[in-house]
Amino acid sequence: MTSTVLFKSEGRNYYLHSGFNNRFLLCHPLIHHFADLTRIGGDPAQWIDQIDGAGIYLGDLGPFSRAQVEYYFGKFLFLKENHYFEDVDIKKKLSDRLSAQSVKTTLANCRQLTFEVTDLCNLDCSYCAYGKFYNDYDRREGKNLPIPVAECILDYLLELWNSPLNHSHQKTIYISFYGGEPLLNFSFIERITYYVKTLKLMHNSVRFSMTTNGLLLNKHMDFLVEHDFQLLVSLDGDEVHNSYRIMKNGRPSFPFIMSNLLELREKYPIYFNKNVRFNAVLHNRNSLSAIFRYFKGKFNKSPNVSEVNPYGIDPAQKAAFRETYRNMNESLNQEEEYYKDENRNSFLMPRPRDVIEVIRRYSGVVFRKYDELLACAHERSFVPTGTCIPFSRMLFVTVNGKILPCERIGHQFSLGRVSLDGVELDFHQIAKTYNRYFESLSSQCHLCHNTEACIQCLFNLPINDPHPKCFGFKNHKDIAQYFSSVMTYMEEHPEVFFNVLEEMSFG
Amino acid sequence: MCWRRCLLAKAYWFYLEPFVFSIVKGKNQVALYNTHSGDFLEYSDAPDIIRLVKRLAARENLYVVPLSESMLAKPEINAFIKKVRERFMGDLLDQRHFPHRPVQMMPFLNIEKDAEKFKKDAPERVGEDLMTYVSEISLYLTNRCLINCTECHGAYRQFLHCTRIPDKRVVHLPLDAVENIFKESTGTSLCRFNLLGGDILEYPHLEELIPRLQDIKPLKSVYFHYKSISNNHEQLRAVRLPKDSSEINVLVHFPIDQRRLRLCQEYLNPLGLETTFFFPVKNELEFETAMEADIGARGSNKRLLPFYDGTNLEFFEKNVFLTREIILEAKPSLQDIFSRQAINGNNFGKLIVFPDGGIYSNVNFPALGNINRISLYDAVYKEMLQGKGWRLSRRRVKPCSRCVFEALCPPLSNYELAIGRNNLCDIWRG
Repeated sequence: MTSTVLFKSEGRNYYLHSGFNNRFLLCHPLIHHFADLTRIGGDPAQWIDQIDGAGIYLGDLGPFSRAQVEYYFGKFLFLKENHYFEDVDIKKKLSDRLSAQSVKTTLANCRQLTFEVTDLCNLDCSYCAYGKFYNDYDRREGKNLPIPVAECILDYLLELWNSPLNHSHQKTIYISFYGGEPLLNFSFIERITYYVKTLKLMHNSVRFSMTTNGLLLNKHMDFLVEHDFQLLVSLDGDEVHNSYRIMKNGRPSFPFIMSNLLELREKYPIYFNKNVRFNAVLHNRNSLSAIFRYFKGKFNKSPNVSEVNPYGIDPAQKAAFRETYRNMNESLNQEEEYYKDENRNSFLMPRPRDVIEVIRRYSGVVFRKYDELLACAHERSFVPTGTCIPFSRMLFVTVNGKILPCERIGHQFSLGRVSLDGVELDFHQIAKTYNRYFESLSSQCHLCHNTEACIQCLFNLPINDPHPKCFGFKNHKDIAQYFSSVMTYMEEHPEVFFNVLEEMSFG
Repeated sequence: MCWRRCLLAKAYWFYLEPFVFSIVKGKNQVALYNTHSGDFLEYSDAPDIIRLVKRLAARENLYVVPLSESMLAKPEINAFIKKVRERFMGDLLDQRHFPHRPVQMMPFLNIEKDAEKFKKDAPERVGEDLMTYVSEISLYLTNRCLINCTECHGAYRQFLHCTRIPDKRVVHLPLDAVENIFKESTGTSLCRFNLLGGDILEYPHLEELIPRLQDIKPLKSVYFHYKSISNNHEQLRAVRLPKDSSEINVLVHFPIDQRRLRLCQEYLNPLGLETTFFFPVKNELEFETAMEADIGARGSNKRLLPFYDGTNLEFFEKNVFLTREIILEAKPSLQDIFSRQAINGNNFGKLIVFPDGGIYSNVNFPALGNINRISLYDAVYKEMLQGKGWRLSRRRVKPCSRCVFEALCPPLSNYELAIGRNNLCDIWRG
């Protein structure tokens, strides 16, 4: 697989990306020509010999004189000597695998513990991840997570957080409450908040966060403010945008949620400004620009925007799902006003998101940590796919005590369990399972051109099929198009390069 | 290359390659460095070129600027561009063929977990993953020593070397403090423990410590003065270091007692460990003598360390100081440059613990704390916040911050601190 990608922007500028050097170069079309010629086994020197006094054309470019051709051939050789056309040993690069120790260490450094506090909800949203569209979650039985079970996992994690395996200091760990609607089990939240505050953490501090539909904020806001909760409120925009989010009796939830939000803002304006964020789901009744305009106008905030989850769909619901689903890129492309929209460079918008990923992973100037500056880039290895190392993002406990690496994947992928009898986490088995999944995908990964920036989670693939297909796979043509669209954007918005580097903090 | 054809065109894009590092210092100095070939172009008295390079390096231009025909016709600019093209450091694109302004992802370092950024925007993140940076811990187990070296108070400040500091009283690093350090370093990327004294053979807990060394994975690099080995060879015999993960370092000072050096070699051979003899040298004579010194057995290495004794600046100027030729001969890569901008490669990841418990990122700076009262975590966190040792780069010190070679020079070392100047070179005389 050739690691060098040749492409043109829509402005017809020629570029290459060297996988070996992990760098983009603007280049002359003759460089492209020599690279192509060499790739198909041709001899550039012979080709040069055939040039007559009139020079040569490359497509509609030229004529280029022999002297020019010789100059660029010299440059091509210089670039070749400096590995711009050398292939990466992709198998070696993707040879990392998990071990029991690495899984345990990751857990000791987990940044978030999320409890599915209850599977009860006071709304009946059509696109709910636990609703009619999906079939990859445990049945909703109106259960609450028992408090002793939560205390058990907290005690278990406390030991790890205080162990030498925790390699951070003064880092914030988030204790998060999720549902259903978590405020329906407020007593759990209250008890666990107080319990957490009794724990003696040697190297970390704790903050609390919650994802809520906002319907019960009026009852519990004093407590949430007192304990400095970070709130993520699910709201899709104005009353029409929000019309999928209905109460159990079929009535729209919007007036009640809005009333609670305004009350919270009135009573605790500083808290509202600092601690409250919104998550809007994109669907067929709203649009990206409408969502951003609404939140900017109403609350002077930029929301997270997510798509309706396209994974784990019940086959019987596919048609209904397709009706509801909207893809962010589609929404962007349909909006002619996009480039005039003041949010066009918001890093939450899809096109800048692609640019961010390309700058982060393919520019060669972004390093995750200081010690990467001292390491040889070619010797680094990774696991295949963009799957998070288990527990690197969070540990999620379902209402049934299942332990999952995040709240977005199907419950059938649980990695362990917590009950009144204790915590069952077999690190060796977890590593073995992940490594088996990696092996089943590695043959595709070895041919994929997007390994540096892969964000494909293996749990969103049919991973238990004998030959699972990766939806994120990018062949040479795909990656060339991807780079082309990013470079085209950058040519039109050159300021985005430094905006990304200076204003974003990642990791 | 057909200049005449180029000049007939109306306008061009002139661009630099992303592997070219551009340097702008003050109003009147610019330079371009090719990180592949080592080519270096420097200008300080050429206003048009300086203006052009500054435009290229400006963020809004991303290494690409339009150039008119009239600009190209200027002899100075023409000659400059010719040099840039000859060295493959940049190129001209005819705007007739390429009407849309292209871009380059110019070399500008970004560290995602940058402590400086976090300090400003997200202080709660400064401590993230900090223990993964710890790669080497030097433990001065005791300051007790019966040998009276003249270098005792100076050498340890320049390189790893035994010392009797703090020398008002005899102190030993408590064994439980050592145990705690071993324990707390489990989560780090530690690859080496250096063990030193005083005279390490005078450490009262040595017998209990040695078996513990078997259980820890990092390399154990143990330092002895050559005279202490010949004085205490019986105790040395009892020191059973793990063979597969230990090495011995022997410090040999001038004037060399040849008999004791020979004895030292005899006593070390049976240990069967990789051994390096370090010769701190202060002048040419010592240099020659050390080069010729016989260190005997196979498996032994020799290293000469320049040592500044306060009077031998001339020796340093002749043998240690850098010239522009030496700097450019080293051909630092773009990653080297980035590394030097952000961290100090001599200090980064290293901690030193003295027998009184003082813990340092560099012994020439104040202690981060006392290991008997704070944890390794606290010490490293403090270092991440302060950035004095680990992130000491030339961009923070004078005169280097004003010099075009700032990012090309090797990182600041303890020699600069010992001699009391940052420019150990013949480049900056101002």
